[in-house]
Amino acid sequence: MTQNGTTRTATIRVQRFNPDVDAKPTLREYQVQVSPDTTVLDALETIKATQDGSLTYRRSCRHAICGSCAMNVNGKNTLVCNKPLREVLDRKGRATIRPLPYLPIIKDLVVDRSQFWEQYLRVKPWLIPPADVPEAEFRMTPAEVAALRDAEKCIMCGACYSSCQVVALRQAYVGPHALLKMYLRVLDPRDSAPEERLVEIGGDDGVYRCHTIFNCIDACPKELNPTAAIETLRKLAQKRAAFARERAERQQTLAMPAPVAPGAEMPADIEG
Amino acid sequence: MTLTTSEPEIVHDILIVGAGLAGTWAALAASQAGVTNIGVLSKLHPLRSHSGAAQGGIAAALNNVRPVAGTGPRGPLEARPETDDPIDSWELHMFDTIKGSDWLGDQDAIEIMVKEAPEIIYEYEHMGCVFSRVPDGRIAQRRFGGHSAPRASFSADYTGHVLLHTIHEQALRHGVQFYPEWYCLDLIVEDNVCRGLVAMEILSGRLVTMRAKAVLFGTGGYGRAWRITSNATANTGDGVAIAYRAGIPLMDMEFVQFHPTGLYKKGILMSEACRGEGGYLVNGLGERFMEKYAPDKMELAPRDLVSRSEQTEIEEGRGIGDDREGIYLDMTHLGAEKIMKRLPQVRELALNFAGVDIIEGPAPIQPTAHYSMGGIPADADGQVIADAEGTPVLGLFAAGECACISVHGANRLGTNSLLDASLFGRRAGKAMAVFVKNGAPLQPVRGKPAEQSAARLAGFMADAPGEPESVAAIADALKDTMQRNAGVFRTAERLQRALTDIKALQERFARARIQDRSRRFNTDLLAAIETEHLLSFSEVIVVSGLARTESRGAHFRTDFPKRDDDQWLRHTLAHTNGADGPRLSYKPVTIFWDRYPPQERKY
Amino acid sequence: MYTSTGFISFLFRRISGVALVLYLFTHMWVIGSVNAGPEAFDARLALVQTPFFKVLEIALLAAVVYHAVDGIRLLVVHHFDVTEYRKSLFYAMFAVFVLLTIAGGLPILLFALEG
Repeated sequence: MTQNGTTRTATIRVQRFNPDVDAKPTLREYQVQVSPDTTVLDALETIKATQDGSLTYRRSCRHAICGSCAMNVNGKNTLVCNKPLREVLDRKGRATIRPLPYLPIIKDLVVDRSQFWEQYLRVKPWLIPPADVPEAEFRMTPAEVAALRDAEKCIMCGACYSSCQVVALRQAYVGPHALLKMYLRVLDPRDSAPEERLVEIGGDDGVYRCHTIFNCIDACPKELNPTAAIETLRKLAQKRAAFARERAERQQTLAMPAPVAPGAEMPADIEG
Repeated sequence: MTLTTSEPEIVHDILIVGAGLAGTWAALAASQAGVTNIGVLSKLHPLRSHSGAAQGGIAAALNNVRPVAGTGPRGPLEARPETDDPIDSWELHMFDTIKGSDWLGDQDAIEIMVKEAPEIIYEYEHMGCVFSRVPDGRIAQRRFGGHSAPRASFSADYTGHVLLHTIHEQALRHGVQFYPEWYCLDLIVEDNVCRGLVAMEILSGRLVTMRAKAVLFGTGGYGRAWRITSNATANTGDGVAIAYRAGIPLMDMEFVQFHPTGLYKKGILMSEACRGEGGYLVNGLGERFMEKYAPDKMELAPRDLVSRSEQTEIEEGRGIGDDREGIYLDMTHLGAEKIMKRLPQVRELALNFAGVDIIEGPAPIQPTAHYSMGGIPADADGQVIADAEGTPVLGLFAAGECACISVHGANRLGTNSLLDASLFGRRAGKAMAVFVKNGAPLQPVRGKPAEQSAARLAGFMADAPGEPESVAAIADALKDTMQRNAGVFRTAERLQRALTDIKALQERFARARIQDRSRRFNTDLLAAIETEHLLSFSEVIVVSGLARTESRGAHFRTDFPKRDDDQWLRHTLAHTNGADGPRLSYKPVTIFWDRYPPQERKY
Repeated sequence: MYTSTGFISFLFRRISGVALVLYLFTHMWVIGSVNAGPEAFDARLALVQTPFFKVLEIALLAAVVYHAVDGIRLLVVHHFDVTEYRKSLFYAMFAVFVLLTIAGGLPILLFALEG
C-alpha cells in the first residue's frame, strides 16, 4: 500500500471464471487508485472501465436497495455498492472478492440464483387477501404494521441464502429469504391463508430444518434477522389451528376503524 | 463470438419490456382482464428495477391526514376525523401537478391521473403493501415539496421497494411469465405497425425474435447521460433510444429534473428530509447562500430553484471539493440525538459513500440528474403516437418514466412518479387487453431482424481499422459534456458545444470495440449497446433544448431566462432523420383554459 | 466455506452426536460380553482399561458435555428472543463446556496416571 495524499493504491484480487473456457476459478490481481470515499463497487467499475472489460458482475442501483451486487468479500457476504473499500483492505492494502459461495457460477462474480428464486416461488410470496375487499383500505393498526417492518425491507440479494450451510448441504431447504417472506405474509392480518402456509413451512424442508447457525443474520446487508423470524414461525406452526382462528376473527373487523389507544401517535417519520 | 439467430421465435399475445412498476402493472392488469399469454422482459431481475429505489411516497388525495387546525400549512400533522370536512381533493392535486409542470403537462391526462389516484393506492393496499398508518388504521400521509396538502402515502423511506415487491408478487400469482436478464435489442416497427422485437438472453448470448400482438415499453428513464445522477446504472434510456431508432419520435426530451441534494461526485440521493429537518446549504466561503435566492423559504424552496441556486454558487467559484463542484449540506446544528432519531439512513449513506459523519461535519453534495420528464409520446392509454396529429403506432404502448404522456410537463412533483408509473402502467395493460381481445392479429415480420441485430453487435467485436476506441472512455466523455453543457443551466453556446462533442463522440464510437469476446453473460457488450443508446438520445436532448429558447420548469436557459407561453406552450417532438440528426415538430399542450389557465409559477 | 461461531457450534454438535452414537456401539460390545460369562466380560473390560482408552474416555466426556450444553443453548435460542446475543451465548456455552470437561477429565487423567 502506497500513500499519496488522500489517494493510495490498493490490490484487488478477483475470482475469475468462465465455465465455457476455464477449467477452474482463478484469482486475478488488479491495482487501483482509491480515495477514502471509494466503495468496493467503485473499484470493480474502475477495473472494468480501464483495465479489463471482460470482468463480469451484476450491479445497478448503487445504494443497497436493488439487491444485485451481493458478493463475498474477504470471506464475508455483503453488497459491494455500499461497502467502503477502506473497511475491507488489510494492512497491506489488499482485498479479495469472490462470488456468493455455494451457488453455481455463471461467470466471474455472477452466480446462478435459480434455486433461490425457486424457493421464493415455492412459498407463494404473494398476499392472499380476504374474499371481501373494502372500498378503501384495510385498517391495520400501527402495531401490526410495526411487526412487519423488518421483513418488508428484504431486498432478495441472496447474501443470507448463500451463507447458510443448511442450504449448502440440502438444496431442498426453502432458505432464510423465503422464510422471512413467509413471516411477512403469515403475520399480516390481511393474509387469509396462514394455516396453509404454516403447514407448508412446517414440513420437511421448512422451519425445522434451520440449525440456528445465524450466518443469515451476520450476512444480511440490511441488518435483518431471518433466524428470529424462523423462531417465531416455529412457534406459530405448533399452534397453527388456533392462530388461523384468531386470524379469521381479526379479519371480521379488518375493514372497520381500529380502536385508538389513548395517547396513540402519528408515525414518527411522517415529516420525511 | 458467433451470434446464432436460428433460434425459434417466441410468441406472446402481449410482450412487455421492463419489469418496474409500469411494466409489471401492465402485465398484471392485462392478465386480470383475461389475457393469459403475457411475457415480461427485463435486462435485470424484475426486483432489481429502479422503481424500487423511490423513497418518499406515492401521491393521492386520500384526506387521511391534516395539519392541526390553527397551526398553518407547516404545522404538526394529525389524523383527520372521518366526519370532518376534507382538506384535500383531486382538483387541488391537479392544480399542484399543473403548476409543478410549469403548464407543460397535458391537463386531460393529469385529470385522469389525479382522479384515479386513490383507487390505485387502495389496490396496492389490498395486494399487501405495508403502508405506514395513522392510529385508527388508515394509511398515513406525509407532506412533499410542491403539494399543498399531506398527500404522500408511504412505507418508511422505501416506498418504491415495497410497491415493486408487492406488484411483482401479484404478477407471479397471476401466472405472468418473466424473462429475467433478457435484453431487448430492437423493436420491429414497419408501416406504423409494431410486430415484435429482437431480444438477447444475457446468460447464453443467443438472439431471439419475439413476436406479439401488442408490445409495451416500460423501460425507465435516461439519467445515466449525466456524470452526476441519482439513477441506477441500468437507467441508460434503452427503450427511448430503441424506439427512436425504430422511427418513433421522442417528446420533450430536454426536460430532465435535477435534484438538489445528490452526494458529491456520486450523485446518490440524500433524502429530501435533510432539508425538511432543517439542514443548511453552505458554500465554500461558509455562507448560507439560500438567503440570496429564497430569503423566505430558504432551503425549503422547490427542487429546481434550490438546484439552480447551488449551481450558481458553484459556477461563480464558491463551491467546495477538489473540483469546486460541491456544496456543503450542514446538519451538525441539529445535534446527534435528532440526527440519530430522524435521519439514521442519511447518516449511514454519508458514512458509507463520502466517509463523513453528518453529526460531526457537513456532507458534500451537488445537484444530480434525477428524473426524465420526456420520452416516448403516448396517450393516457399508453398508445404510442407517431406524430403531432396523434397518429397511433398500432400495437405499441409505453408507460412509466420512458413514456411522455405528459403528466409532469416541464417538471415533476415528488411522489407523482410512482403514481404515474403504476396508474398509466395499469391503464396501458387494460388497453392492451382490449386491443388483443378485439382481435388484433399477430403481424407478419419481414426479413430476418435478428440477423440485422446480430450484425450490429458483431461490429463491436470486428477488427478495427487502427487503434480501437474504448467504450467506457466515450461514455465518460459524453457524461462530462452533458454535465457541463446540458445540465442545470443551459445556453445556446453550451448546448452547441455539447452537440459538437456528441457528434465527435458518435464518430469515435464507430471505432469502439469491446474486450470481452465471449457469448456468456457479456456485460462488456451490454455496456457498448447502452453507450450507443446514450449517444443517440443525448443528441435529441441537446437539439430539443437548443431549439427551446425559453426557461420552463427544469429546462433553464440563462440566455432566455423567462417562460415564453406565446411561442413555447407546446411539446417538442424529435423525429429520427438519418445522419442529419433529429427533425423537430411541435404538438400543442392540452389546457383547460377555463379551469387552469397558465399563470406565473411562484412558490 | 463460510465460517462463523454458529457454524463451529453446528459442526461440533454434529461431530459429537456421531461420536456418541459410535460410543454406544462400543459400550454395547463391552456390556454384551457379559452373556459369555464373567471371564469373557473381565477380559473385555481389561481391554478398555488401557491408557489409550482412558484418553478416549476423556474425549467421550467432552462429546457428552459439548452435546449437552450446546443443546441447552439451543433450547434458550428456541424459547427466548436472544438472537442478538448469539455470539456471547456461544462463548458462554463454550466456556462451560471447557470448564466441565476439565473438571471431569482431570480426575480421569490422574486416576489413569496413578493406575
